[in-house]
Amino acid sequence: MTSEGPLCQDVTVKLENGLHLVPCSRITEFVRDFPGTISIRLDDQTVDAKSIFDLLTLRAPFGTILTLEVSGPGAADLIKGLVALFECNFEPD
Amino acid sequence: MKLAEFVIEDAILTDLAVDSKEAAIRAMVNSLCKAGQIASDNADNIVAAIMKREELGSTGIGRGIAVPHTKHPSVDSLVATIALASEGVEFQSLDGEDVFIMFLLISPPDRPGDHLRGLESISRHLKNDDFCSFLRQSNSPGDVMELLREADDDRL
Repeated sequence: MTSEGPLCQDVTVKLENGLHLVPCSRITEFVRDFPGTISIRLDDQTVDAKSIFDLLTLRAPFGTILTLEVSGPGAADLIKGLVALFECNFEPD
Repeated sequence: MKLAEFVIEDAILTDLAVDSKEAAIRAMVNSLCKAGQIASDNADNIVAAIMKREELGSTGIGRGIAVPHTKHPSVDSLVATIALASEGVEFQSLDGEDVFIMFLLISPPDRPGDHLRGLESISRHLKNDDFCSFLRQSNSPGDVMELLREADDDRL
């Protein structure tokens, strides 16, 4: 698999309670085994999506627009999956 | 939001020895009751709500840390306590390791922003290895509060 990226995409936090601990856990679980880098940006703050401690410092309430930035092998699939997580409000299938 | 603004000194437990996640949560909730932050007749209900939240996914977020929490109408502002367990507590953490530091938060249902700000403050400091190390070495609620104030003021 060839390296891809960086790929960027904006997502909106549609959770009533914002990006709290449950969705942050889901994000870190989803990206844990990805060999590349995944950052999430809010204004001038950029955090590592593999670190739940980093994600929680985003303090992103309902309506916040975040920018996903992914680089590495399989980046396109990974960013697609992350966007889907935000779209379905982190609810399991 | 500063840690010392919502962590209740009188409810801090620095030598918690329990054999389960639920026992740890109950001890922390009871400690908040004794400190006058929540009414005793709400304790069972709050413990049940926190345990139900744990079923969605453990709040053991790795590095020996857990942040059990719930919303509850019996508080009108964010309140929290800290428990330190030198022997560790099995918390079904994300990394599979025992937990030694627990921050328990209770927030009003209508103020999700306060909850996020509290989590942000806790997470920001818990990323600091020195903070975690000093916290685990604290022997009294006064020691813990002094550490929280140092962290709040970026003096670590």
